[in-house]
Amino acid sequence: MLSFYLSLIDDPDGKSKLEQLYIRYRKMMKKIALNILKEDTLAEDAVHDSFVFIAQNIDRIKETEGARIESYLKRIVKSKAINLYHQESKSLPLDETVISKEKNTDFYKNLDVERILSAIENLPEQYQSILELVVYHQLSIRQIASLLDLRYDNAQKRLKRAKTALLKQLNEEENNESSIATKVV
Amino acid sequence: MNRALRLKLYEAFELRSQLEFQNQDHLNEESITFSPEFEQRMGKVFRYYDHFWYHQFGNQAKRIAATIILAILFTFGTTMSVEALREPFLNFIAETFEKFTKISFTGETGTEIEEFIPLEPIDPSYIPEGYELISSNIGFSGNTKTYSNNKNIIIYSQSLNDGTQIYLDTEDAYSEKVNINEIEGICITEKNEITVFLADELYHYTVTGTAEKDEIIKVAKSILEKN
Repeated sequence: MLSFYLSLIDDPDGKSKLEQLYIRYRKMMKKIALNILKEDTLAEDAVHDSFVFIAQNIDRIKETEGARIESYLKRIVKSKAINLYHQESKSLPLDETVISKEKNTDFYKNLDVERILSAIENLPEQYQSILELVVYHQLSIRQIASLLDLRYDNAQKRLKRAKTALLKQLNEEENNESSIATKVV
Repeated sequence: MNRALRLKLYEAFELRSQLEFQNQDHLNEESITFSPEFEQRMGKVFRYYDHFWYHQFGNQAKRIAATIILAILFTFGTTMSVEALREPFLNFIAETFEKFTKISFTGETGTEIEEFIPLEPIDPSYIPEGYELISSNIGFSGNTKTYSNNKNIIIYSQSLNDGTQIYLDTEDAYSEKVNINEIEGICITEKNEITVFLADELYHYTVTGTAEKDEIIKVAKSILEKN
């Protein structure tokens, strides 16, 4: 029992990981949710649902600040906001321009990685989301299904489609470059 | 997806997150506010998921409790065994299973209160001589203090009593009732560790450590005196 207590107080800031994330990132998360949902109450619902998911998977959280955790939280709140958006207005198409608003492609300087990023960002938001969650944040299909409110098999299918779409993007870019090079020659 | 592509994708996502991170404007969103209803809901999230006991014992204990309800058993004042007993306390019921003790609350607790009540830290007024505070943790749902004299340690925790059941790890432990300022609590002895558990309508209090049992009880007593 003592070791359990000691693990609780191992935190130098004296607050739990969940609280630290909440205090630091809740406004950022609400802003992202507001961009998608345009409605204050719904945005708060998205932030709330996000923190419930984070709490349920708190063992995954190794750090409470930095680029990686920020990216993870953004992805979660976006996913929850998009779920709510679809629930609230199933008949309306999702405004992809709103969701894409936070992209910062101007910063991307490394050419090779830029090419990959370009291909990623040309994908629909839902494909970007599942690829990032699997490859970068290393969530399991089961965790992703829970986050995205999908059945397990549908999450698998979406991942497969995302991979196919990404490869198609990369191949198209390569073909375009080859044809330009041929013309120059 | 082959490994090379996965690595490239990882690098791309890593780069994107780093570059977005450099743009820190979103952390200065003074205009973003939250409704009281939201704060209340989040308070419940913290109370539930950030509970002192939850991560360690919650899932395992619930699973065991659900599947072996008939196998339960137990005793207070004797060594832990698979024979059982159910003992009412002033405001909680403790059931000792083979590997843990379940505490259920009776009467009105924080559960009855709908509005979010932030925890008001209450610390023990007595700490044995030679002990110093080495760690303090005050959050939405709990207050933990750790004291040490470089040889032994005493950990005090106070958490909101929201009426949910609590599970104490009592495997290979001996438990007994203790009477502290006319309030009954539980004292658990596990090898050289002593734990005293108390509760009132608003909070649970636990004092645990490797100090002498009398000292642990004195610390627990000082919480009630102060409260």
